[in-house]
Amino acid sequence: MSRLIFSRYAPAHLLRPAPPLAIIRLNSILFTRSYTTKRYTKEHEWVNVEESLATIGITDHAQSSLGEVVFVEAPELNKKVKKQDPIGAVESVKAASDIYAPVSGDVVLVNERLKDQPSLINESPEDEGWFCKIKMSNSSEINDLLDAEAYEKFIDQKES
Amino acid sequence: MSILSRRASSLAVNSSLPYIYLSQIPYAKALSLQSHLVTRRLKARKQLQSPSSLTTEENARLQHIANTDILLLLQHPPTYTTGRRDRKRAEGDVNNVGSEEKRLREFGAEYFETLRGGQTTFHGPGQLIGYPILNLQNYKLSVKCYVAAIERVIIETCDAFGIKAQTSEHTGVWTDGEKICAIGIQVQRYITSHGFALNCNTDLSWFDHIIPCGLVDKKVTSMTKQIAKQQQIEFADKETNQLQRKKREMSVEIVLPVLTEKFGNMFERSMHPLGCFDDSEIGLRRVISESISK
Repeated sequence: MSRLIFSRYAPAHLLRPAPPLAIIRLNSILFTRSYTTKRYTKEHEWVNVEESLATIGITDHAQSSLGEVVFVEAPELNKKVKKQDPIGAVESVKAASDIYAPVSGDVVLVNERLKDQPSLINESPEDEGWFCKIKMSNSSEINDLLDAEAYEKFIDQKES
Repeated sequence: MSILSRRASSLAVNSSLPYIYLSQIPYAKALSLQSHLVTRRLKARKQLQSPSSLTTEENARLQHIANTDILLLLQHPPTYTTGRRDRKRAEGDVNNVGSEEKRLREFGAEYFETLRGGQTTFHGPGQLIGYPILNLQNYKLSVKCYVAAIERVIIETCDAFGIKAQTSEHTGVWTDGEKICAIGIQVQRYITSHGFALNCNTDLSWFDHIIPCGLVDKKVTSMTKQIAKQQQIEFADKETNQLQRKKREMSVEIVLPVLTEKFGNMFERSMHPLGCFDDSEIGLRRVISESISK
């Protein structure tokens, strides 16, 4: 019965046609290359660090648990944020979920496309649907975050 | 019917869920109460992250604060609220700050910009408000399943009074194409706040001044109105005296116990009034009464 009730919330990736095989391969190569600098939080944000610039977004797991995103509240540009500060929100199914800064620093860029296309978060959560970029004030903070393996494990624990 | 798998329920932290009916309280007080309850839990959770500095009693106390869910039930005096995406102040939309607020206040209602999801709505007497402060992790629920669960609770509550209600693509609960219950939630680190507003015998004319939830062609209804509609059909062919036709008022107090029961069934918790279950809840009860008496 419960399956019946919730079936209207099929995850977005199931509704889209599968990409050709070549693209899957390309993606997995890119993913492997950035693997070493990608970290996660227990609030389901991902952080990709290149030098001291951290790109932030919400994970694929998060977007599928939220459902269709209809509005994104981005942080102010140049805002100074402390790790774990609330910096915005994503709204889906009448629920606004807060997003937290995984690292401290200055917000130097926000993804303007999300204003008109909040669904980018569902379609491409860990790439085109990125949320903002933070110039880190303390690069070592990245060490406190989860790596891909630890994040996977965290999700598995949560769901079983 | 329950949303939780057997496995999840066997892992449940607490199988009983306290609720409290606060009668009518101003929106500002309910807002600060919710914020207080959420912050208190998040703070306790944070303190528990460094358990070595805590005594056994402190640890137990903080565990209790961090884990205790509660369902707040209440009514508001006439109040219009907007959701997160319509916050003019936050947007720095200087020209528009206050114009909508001023317009709506002129009808004698209060006005608040909030951090919940959803758009403009009205709260007022005769509307049963539920603000569940839950940790979604305790129920192994995703945000979208939580919202769907709330919708089910409302549908089953309506059903208990013979009103057929359903969901639509617009979230919330609908009957005959009209909205009977609005939903707007905020989630902070798995802790929910805000919630649902079920029109029992709300004065629906308040909704004429807004576009509820941003849906231009949709109307709002109440349980009283739906039941009156059904009676009209029922008595259409019969000679009935005025007494039999007497309008059945679905007051908040009539709906409250049914809703509480349906909520417990859905979330697999036995519901009990706050403070009546064990002494440890007296603290929480005190926090609530202090918050709303300020």
